[in-house]
Amino acid sequence: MSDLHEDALSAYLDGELDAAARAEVEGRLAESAEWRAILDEVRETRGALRALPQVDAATEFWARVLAGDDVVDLGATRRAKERRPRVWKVVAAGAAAAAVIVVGVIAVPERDKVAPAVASFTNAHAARSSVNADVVSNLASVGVPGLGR
Amino acid sequence: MADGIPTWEEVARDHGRFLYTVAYRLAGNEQDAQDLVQEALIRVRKGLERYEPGSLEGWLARIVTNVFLDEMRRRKRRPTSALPDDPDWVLPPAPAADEASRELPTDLQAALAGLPEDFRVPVVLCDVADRSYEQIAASLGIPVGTVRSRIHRGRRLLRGVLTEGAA
Amino acid sequence: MTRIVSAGLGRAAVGVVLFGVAMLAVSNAPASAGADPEALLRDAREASEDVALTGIVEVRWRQGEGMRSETTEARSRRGAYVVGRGEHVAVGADGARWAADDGIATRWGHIEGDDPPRPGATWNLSLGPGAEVAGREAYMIVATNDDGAARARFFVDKDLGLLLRRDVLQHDGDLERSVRFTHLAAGGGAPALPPVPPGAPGPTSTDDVGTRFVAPERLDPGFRLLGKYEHPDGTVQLFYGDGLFSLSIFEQPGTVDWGGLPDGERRGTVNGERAAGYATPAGTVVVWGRDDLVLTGVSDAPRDVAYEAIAAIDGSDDGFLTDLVDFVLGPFGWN
Repeated sequence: MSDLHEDALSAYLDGELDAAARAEVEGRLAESAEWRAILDEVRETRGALRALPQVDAATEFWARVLAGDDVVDLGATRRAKERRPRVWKVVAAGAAAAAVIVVGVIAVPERDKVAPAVASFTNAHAARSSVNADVVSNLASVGVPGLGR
Repeated sequence: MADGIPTWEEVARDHGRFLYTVAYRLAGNEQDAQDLVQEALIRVRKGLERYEPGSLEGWLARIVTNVFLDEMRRRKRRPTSALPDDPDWVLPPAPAADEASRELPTDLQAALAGLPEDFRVPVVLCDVADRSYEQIAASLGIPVGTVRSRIHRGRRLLRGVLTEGAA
Repeated sequence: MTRIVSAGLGRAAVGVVLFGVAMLAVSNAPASAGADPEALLRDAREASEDVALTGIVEVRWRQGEGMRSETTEARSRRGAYVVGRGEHVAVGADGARWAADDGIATRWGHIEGDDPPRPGATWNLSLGPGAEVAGREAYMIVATNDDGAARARFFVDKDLGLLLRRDVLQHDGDLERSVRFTHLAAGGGAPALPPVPPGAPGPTSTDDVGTRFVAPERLDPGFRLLGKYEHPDGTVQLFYGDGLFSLSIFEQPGTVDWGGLPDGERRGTVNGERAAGYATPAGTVVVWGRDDLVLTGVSDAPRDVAYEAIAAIDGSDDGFLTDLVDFVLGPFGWN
């Protein structure tokens, strides 16, 4: 009696076993209800996968390909697709704000240097995001150290 | 076609759907699948000179897989063969012998896309591209035994989709 | 939605690591007809308020080439939560929160804000293969974008309805971040709430952030402004949600003191502006400056989605994706 592992069932369905191994699997199937159940399950999954229809790209894609447009940059088509016009406006950057900033730059060239308290900000974000959402998974980041000082 | 060697255009026309299907099941989304197919066709064009008539679809499947894996490696800069250490990817308990699971598959594609890549690639190559374990092992550079166990485990992980189908 | 829970374990003593799953009557019922992924996620939030639990939570996040992992405790009952302990702890009770990290505390009173969009508003949700989390059977819900790429997974306890695990996936499908219970025991008494540190500052909700701060109502791809808050030091926090993920933008007047930032940052640009990025347990963090504002973005969304939203708040009309790609392709390492 060899050390037969359950994955032999997939190999069995895929016709990947030699005659001796097949006989072993069949022997085990005759004895084990569990193996029979797993076989049925895997057969069904395998069947569903093999029954998945072929899919095809849009005709424009093939038209482009057959027209001979060489794409040398794998990401170029993706980036081209993602480039899109902006649809929103920044709300508060009105003329008044611009004027304030311009005046500020002229009058006070030196700006205060600020080092954001990153750890504290991540906690504030975690706290707020845990409201109206899953609490534990949102607060979990507060409970662990993670940001070097 | 001359001497049994197809032209690049013939490959694209006659086998494009096969190429795209494998690419789509591997990549999980349209845009990446299109990129994969285009890159694969570039390699096909270059490789046709050396192509020896045989299993064309096998050759194409291998090219698409290599493109996919190259892209994964490019994105990760590390070996793809290591399975993530993830104890929650546990197989469902073996069904009771008399339990009927006659539900039709729903959203199997989404489930495939959710599978870790180390399971997804062998399953797609076996059940979508119809490659043998030997061919898959050669394509991925892993032992046949590993191919077998990943296919089996990948199929069992997908089983949940067949029985949990949404209304 | 209430669930009957048997109190398998007694009260957990603070400092004792708890493990061991109370094997409740996990139903072996056949496939639930019509398990709806969106309903599962929605109900999971309420389920956590009905169940008393004690558990160990592991946070994993990708940092550079590898995954980091840290664990912490979580206890909850009837809407009171304690996650962590000692110097790193978060407490929630009845909509109020406070969080302490190495002596720095943030305290919220009752938090006001809009409800987030529904989970399926921006993302497509479907059921994936089942799994076990912390030894408990769970549904898996997969969130995919309109291109069909899976970007997140949620695991919901089949019996208790609790969210047991949430994963965020990188563009290539690998794990970017994961928060999950490794051990969970349902039952037990209410958690002892640690005292709020004296003098802890508290942000307040505000309707008007003034003209020097930017506060768009929408950030593509799907974030909606859900609240504006003013911290005692004048920092403005904008809080956005897309139904599955959230994003905060912190705005402070001034210019970035790069030397004062925590170690371990990655350099990049946001719309041409120098930026520093971090991978943290809470998610992606980006610090940059623009027009005399220091901006900090924090989000648990997949990194590229967070970047897109963060770049969106910057408002430039052209070339943003090129710059964004520079940041992503640059030192962050996932490309």
